[in-house]
Order: sequence, then structure tokens, then C-alpha cells
Amino acid sequence: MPLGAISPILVLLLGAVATLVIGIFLPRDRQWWTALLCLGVLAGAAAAALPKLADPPGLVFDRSYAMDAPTLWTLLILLAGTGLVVGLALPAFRRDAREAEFYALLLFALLGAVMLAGAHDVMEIVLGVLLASVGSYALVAYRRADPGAMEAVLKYYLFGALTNIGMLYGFVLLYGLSGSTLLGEIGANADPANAGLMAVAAVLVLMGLGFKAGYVPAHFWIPDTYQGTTPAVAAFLSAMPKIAAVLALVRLVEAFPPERMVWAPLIAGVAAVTMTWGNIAAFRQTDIRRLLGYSTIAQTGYLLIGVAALHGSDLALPAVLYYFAAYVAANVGAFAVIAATGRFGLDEHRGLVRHAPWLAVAMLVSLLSLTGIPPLAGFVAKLALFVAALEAGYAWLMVLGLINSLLSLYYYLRVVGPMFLPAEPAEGLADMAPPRACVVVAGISAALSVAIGIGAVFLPEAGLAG
Amino acid sequence: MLSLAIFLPLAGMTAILALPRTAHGAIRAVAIATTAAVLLILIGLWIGFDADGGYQFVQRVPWIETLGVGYAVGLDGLAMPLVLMTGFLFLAALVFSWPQSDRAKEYFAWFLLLETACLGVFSAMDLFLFYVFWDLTLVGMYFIIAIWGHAGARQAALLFFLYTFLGSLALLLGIIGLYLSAEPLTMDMAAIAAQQPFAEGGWLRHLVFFGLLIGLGVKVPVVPVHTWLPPAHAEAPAPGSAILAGVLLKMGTYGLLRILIEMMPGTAQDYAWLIIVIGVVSVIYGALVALAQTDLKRLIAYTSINHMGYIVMAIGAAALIGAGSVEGRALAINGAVLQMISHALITGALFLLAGVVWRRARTFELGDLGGLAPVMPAFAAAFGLAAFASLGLPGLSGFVAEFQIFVGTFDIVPVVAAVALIGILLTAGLFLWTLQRVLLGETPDRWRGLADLAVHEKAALLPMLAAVVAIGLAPWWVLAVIDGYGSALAAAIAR
Repeated sequence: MPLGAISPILVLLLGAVATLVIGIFLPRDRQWWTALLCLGVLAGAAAAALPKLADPPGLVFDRSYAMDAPTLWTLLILLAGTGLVVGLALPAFRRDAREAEFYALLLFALLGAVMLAGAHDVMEIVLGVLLASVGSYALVAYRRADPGAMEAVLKYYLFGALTNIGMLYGFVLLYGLSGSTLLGEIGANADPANAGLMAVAAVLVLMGLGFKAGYVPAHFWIPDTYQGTTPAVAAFLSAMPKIAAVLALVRLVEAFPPERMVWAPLIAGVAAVTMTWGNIAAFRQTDIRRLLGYSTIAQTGYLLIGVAALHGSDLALPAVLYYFAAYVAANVGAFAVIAATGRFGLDEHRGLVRHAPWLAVAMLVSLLSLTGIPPLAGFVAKLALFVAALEAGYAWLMVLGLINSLLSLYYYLRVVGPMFLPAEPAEGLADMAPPRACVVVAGISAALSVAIGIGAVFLPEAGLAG
Repeated sequence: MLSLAIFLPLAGMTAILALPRTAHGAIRAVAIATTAAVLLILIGLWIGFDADGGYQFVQRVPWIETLGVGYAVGLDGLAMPLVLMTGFLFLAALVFSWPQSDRAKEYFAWFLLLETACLGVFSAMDLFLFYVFWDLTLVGMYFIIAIWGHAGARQAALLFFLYTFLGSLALLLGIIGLYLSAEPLTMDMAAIAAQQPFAEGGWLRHLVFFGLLIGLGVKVPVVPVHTWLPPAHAEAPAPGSAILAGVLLKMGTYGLLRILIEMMPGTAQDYAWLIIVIGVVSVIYGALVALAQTDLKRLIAYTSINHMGYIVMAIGAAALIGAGSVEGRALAINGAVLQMISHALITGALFLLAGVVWRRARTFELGDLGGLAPVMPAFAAAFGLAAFASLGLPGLSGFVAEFQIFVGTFDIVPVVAAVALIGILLTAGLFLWTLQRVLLGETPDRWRGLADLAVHEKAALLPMLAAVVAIGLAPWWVLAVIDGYGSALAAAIAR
């Protein structure tokens, strides 16, 4: 079994360990070197992944991991997104007592997400979810003296434990029904006679992945957790494990021939409820972190439209992958702005455009991209998803998606409006000194939202391995 | 060259963003120079335009090939006059904005972004590109209304954005439907029009039709989806109103012709009466409600609904097969297109003139105004001319356009034309009454010191009114171009 087949994952693993070990020996005022090391690890993993895009897709490691275009594209998006998060974390955790551990944990959580993204074996899915979760728990509670952080992690942890156990039960049932843990064999062997048990297993597994992906009904932890933790961690949680879990769901759905297991109606229903719930709940939020939390829930709903359309449209999978890139850029961009200002109230950003025009513009671009306004990335992504939905016969889901875009515009404007409209600037805004790293990350993210939108020449022609 | 004209304003915007915030003179100079250069390029294209040549100045660049999307722009007899009018109106609006000092950098930057978007909408030959520019106009106009508008601008801008974004989404639904019905999948507008994807029927065509009708109807706007327009106009700054009425509303009627009629004439024919009725209702309702207005800008806004109603009515009549002649159909289409140009010039001028009043008197209340003619003679002359043009006085552009619409519609559906004539009578009375209320009567003491039109205001208004007269007296220089499109489309519908 050639180790080279999973070289990007090995780079991440060794890098995470190295970050932890080197951090132990670095003096306090040089701990930030580990952030640079972390960036180097991400770049190394990307360098290991890029040449593999040219290779034919295949299942590696006893067919438990899929090395195909979806995995690789998602991996690259995860690496880039995490790189941006490191930029946000740099000023926030500078000179913190356990600065190096933060980056090590970040890399471990990322490793979990990467494993999840390519998992072709249900035990691998469990491993990925657990690794991503455990790393994330620690990241959320990193500032343990802060009672808000403790509350955030408690909700996160309890919810995670519950849904993960459910997911394990689901996989045990699938194993019992098919005699295998490999996705391809489960799908091929599962006997349609046991439809009832299959449905129970499906619901349990959906719950477990829903915790990571953040869709209804496993979404309750999201707003509280984002509010309780730092924007950098919220940016990470809202993007990386989420897209990895959605890709895992994609593989799970694709593993079953349509005549054996009909996931699509169930997922379409979850998509409909998730996007509507997320958008409506975001209406009355006054804390931008909570508002973005509900927004990320709604965004998962749109992604699930693509998952529901998988069997009916060839465009669905490329559209989902494209949405990953658009979503990560826009979402990290939005969190980067509040990480830069250090303010979380809608009203505390009044007149931001006068004092930090680039931050205001970055927020505008990011939120318009999330709304799906052209020529930004979010538009191309949504368009592709909607086309796939209509092609797959989900016209109603597409119309609901359109209506939800309108709903989301309303509360995104509640964030952006005060930044641009004439008014007395918010108190202390004039003396604000946003950390440069955060401003740079916000700028890069916004530029990516524009570039991914206009430079949409590529919608990856991606097929799943196996 | 066409792409240069489209993206030059964007380059101007970038240049403005690089200038310091306080350099008002330089910012203004860049903005006006950019729009002037764009207009020059467009005039050059107009001169080189062959009226019978179909799409010209076409440029195609592959873009998202997996989606069948390309960057494709070009002008035909419908788009050419509209882009020229757009370039003309933007220059006038920015010249009118000469004294702008409140957040001038952002102001001119947003206007330039908006110009690129508007030119792009009319030039796009690809539905994806069309929609990209279409939505960009919403963002630009939202900020122009919200930041530089009057007291209630925030709510009006929000209503504008949400309402018209709803329209955009309905339009997107229609576009996706058209796209999926094309074989092979393509966003190329000419290719879809050539294929006539819904010629064989199918349930999807109804969904697509109503998506397009709602999406475009909100933009026009037609009754009953017009409610965003009066507050948006009332609260927007005068140049913003001029662009909104002059250019943005035209995107709706342009889409009706370009997408609805060209790509699915069969379905449009099935629903032609619906389109006609919507148009006539807008005509009558707009005129009646305008009568009840006490606010000058709201009054002009409602006459806009009235005037745009004629266009919708004419388009509906043109789509109706089985009645009338090909010539009548062509007249209706030509009239509709000419009315787009004419209404842009007239209503654009009226909104700028309302802005003149606001700059001096700080009010739009008709009850507060009156007796302005003796103190502001040039203003009175301009306002009088614009108002007479708007009510359809022969010799001015509004008459030519509406005359064609009525003759064409009368040929196809005489009853409709007769009913819509009521609208003409109402607006005639309305404008005479408005002229009386604003210009005539005893001049109140508080208005005695008002200054007449300033140089930059004259520079903005004079060319617009000159064009109104020029089209009114010698319409053929525009009609020749429009007819190349109108006759071809009329013949295509009849087939």
C-alpha cells in the first residue's frame, strides 16, 4: 500500500505533530513561529495534492479513502480556508500562553475534516467526525477562563456527543444489513426488503453528519457556539468541517443505487426546512456572530439542494464543489471583518465605511456573495445548484431556494446598511485599530469572492471514485 | 469598441477610488470625462451602425463553457438606441451633479459602476451576462438612493432593493428554464431565440413565462407590482431618479421584447391579452393616481407608470397573432422602442428639473410652489417644454412615439387603443394643471430670491430637451435604426 497515495494527509498529520512538539520548546515570545509553521504545512499539503489532480481517480488504503477530484478540490479549498483562518488567529492568540497548541489543534481538526471529505468507509467517516470534533471542542473552549466560551463548548460538546452516538448506531445497523463497512459494498449489498431498518439507519446517520454540516435538526449549537468563541474559530467551524461533512454525505448518497435507497426526498425536505429556518431565524439577530451563525445554517440548506439533485443531474456534484469554494471565501470574509473590528453588534459598525472603507467593502462583497448577487462567486454557485435542481425535477426546491435568497438579502442588508448609510459613526470607531492580519484576510477573501465569480471558467468536471 | 464603452466607466471608477477623498474637482473631472468619452464612443458606433445589419460590433469570448456561458456583446436596432440613450443620460446626470460635495468620491464611483451595469444589460447577448449586469444595477441604485436620498431614503432604498431583487429572482427562474430547454444547453440569446425552445409546448413554458413576466414587470414597473417605484423616486437624489426612470425602467421593457417576445413568441401570444390588460391598467391607473399627488416627484413617478404602460400595451398587442397586419405590428414595436427613448429623455429631464426646485426651495410640495415663472424664466421654459413633451404635444418626441403605438395597437386591437386614449387625456390635463401650480400665479415672497438655472444645470438639460425636439421634428434618424429591428421582429412573429 503506497503511502504516497495519501501524501497530503501525511503532510498534515506530521505537520500537526511537529507544530505541537516544536511549540513545547519555543519561548513564549517566539511561539508565533508555529503559525508560520502551520502555514507552511498547509502549503506543503497543497503542493502534495496539486499533482494528484492529474492522476486517475481511485480508492486507496484498502479502498477506504477516495482520492478523486471531489476530494482533492475540497482538500484544496479546506487548506486555503484554513490558511485564511490562521491569519485571523494570529493577532487574536498572539502571546497567548498556549499559542502553539492552538495551531496544532487547528491542524488536527483540519485533518479530521480532510479524512471526512474523502472517507469511503463508514468507520473512516466516524474517525473523521470524531477527530474534527475533538479538535474543535478544544478550539472553542480555548479561552477557558471565559464563561461564554465554556457555555459555547458545553452546548457544542453535548450536541456532538449525542449525534455522534446516533450516527454510530446508524452505521452499526448498515453494517448489520450489508456485512460491510465499505460504502460501495453497503450500497450494493443492502437488501431492499429491510427498508424500515434502512430508513432508521439513514435518519441516524443524517443526524450525525448534520451536526458537522449544520443542518436542521442538528443545528441548535451553532449560533450559541459562534457567539461564545473567537471569530477565528467560528470562521473555521462554519466552513471547514461543514463542507467536509457535506461531501461525506454526497458519497453516502451516491453509494446507494437509486432503486435501493431513496435519499433524495428526505434530503430535499431537510434542505427546504434548513434554508428557510436559518434565514428566518437570522432576521431578528442583533449580534453579527449569531446572525452569521443562522446564515451558515441557511447556506447548508442550499448545499443540500445539490445533494438532493445528485441522481438527477450531472451538474449537481460540480455545483456543490463550486459552492464549497464560494461559501468558504464569503463566509471567512464576513468573519474576518468582525475579527478585524472586534465588534459584534449591528449598530456598532455604523459609519464603518468612513473609518475603514476596505473592511466595509469586504463585508459588502462577502454578504452579497452569500446572497448570490452576480458577478460574485455565490451567484455562479447558486445558479449551478438551481439549474441542477430544476434538471433533477426539483422545481419546488429551486423556487424555495430563490425565495430564500430574497429573505437572506434582508438581513444581510441589516449588517451592511449601517456601515454605508449616513449616520453618526458608532462610538470609538474613529480610534479603532484593526489588526493588520485580519484586514489582509478580509481583503483576500473578498478578492477571492470576486475572482471565483468572474473567473468562473472552471466548474470542475468531477466524478466520484468507486 | 463596444466592450471598451461598457467597461470604461469601471476604469473611471477605479481611478476615482485611487484619488484622495477631498479632491472633489479631480473626482468630478474624471467622472465627467469618463462618461463623455463613453458617449463619444457610442456616437461613433451609432454612425457606423447599419440599420439592416442585425447584430453588429459583436464580440464573443468563451467564459464558463461547462454551463454554456460566454461573454458575448453586440448591438442591434433595439439595443443601439438604448445604449446611446444610456450614455447620454449618464453624462447629463453627472454634469447635473457638478456641485456634489457630500461623499463625492463614493457618489461618482457608484454612478460609474451603475453606468457599466446599464450599458452591459442592453449590450449582452448572453443571458448569464445579461443577468450579471441586471443585478449589479440593483446594488448601485440601492446605495445611490440610500446614501444620497432624502429623509425617508433608507426605507425606500430597502424596499427598492428587496422588491426588485424579488423580480430578479423570478427573472432568474425564467432564464434557467429557458437555458434548460435549449439544446444543447446554452445561455446564448440569439441561439435560444433561433431555436424557439417552447414551440412544442410543455408545462415548463408557463413557469418560465410567469417568471419572466413577473421579473420584468417589477422592473418596468406595471400595476400591481409598481409599489416600490413612487417611494424610490420620491426619496432618490434627482440624478438618481433620472437614471432610475430613464435607464433602469427600460431594462424591463427591453427584456420583454428581447427575451419574452423573441424567445417564446408562441407562449407570449397565448398570454398576449394578459400583457395588454396589464399595460392598459398601468396606463389608466398611473394617470389617475398621478392626478391625486401633491408631491412633484411622486407625480412624475406615477406618470412614468402611465408612460411605461403604453410600451407594455404595444408589446402585448404586437404579440397577439391573428389580428392586424404585419405593418401594424411593426408600428407598435417601433413605437414601443421609440417611447423607451423618448420617455427616458423627457422623464429624465423632469426629474432633474424637480431636483432644480429642491436645490433652491427644499420642497417638492406642489401646494408650496407656484409663481416660479417670473423668477426663474429659463427653468420655466425647460419645465414647460418637458411637460408638453410628456403630455404628447405634436412636434415633440413623446407624440411621435405614442402616435405610433396607438396606430399600431389600433390596427391590431382597436378597443384597447380607444380605452388607453383616456390615459392621454388624463395626463394632458394633469401636466397643464401641474404647470399652472408650479409656474403660474402670484410669486410668494419666499420664492422671490430664487436663482434661475445655473450653468451646469443648463448644460445637463439643454441637450436632453434638444434631443426631444429633434426626435419630435425629425424622427426618422432614430426610426430608421429602430425599424430595422421592429420590422424584422414583426415579420418573425407573424410567421
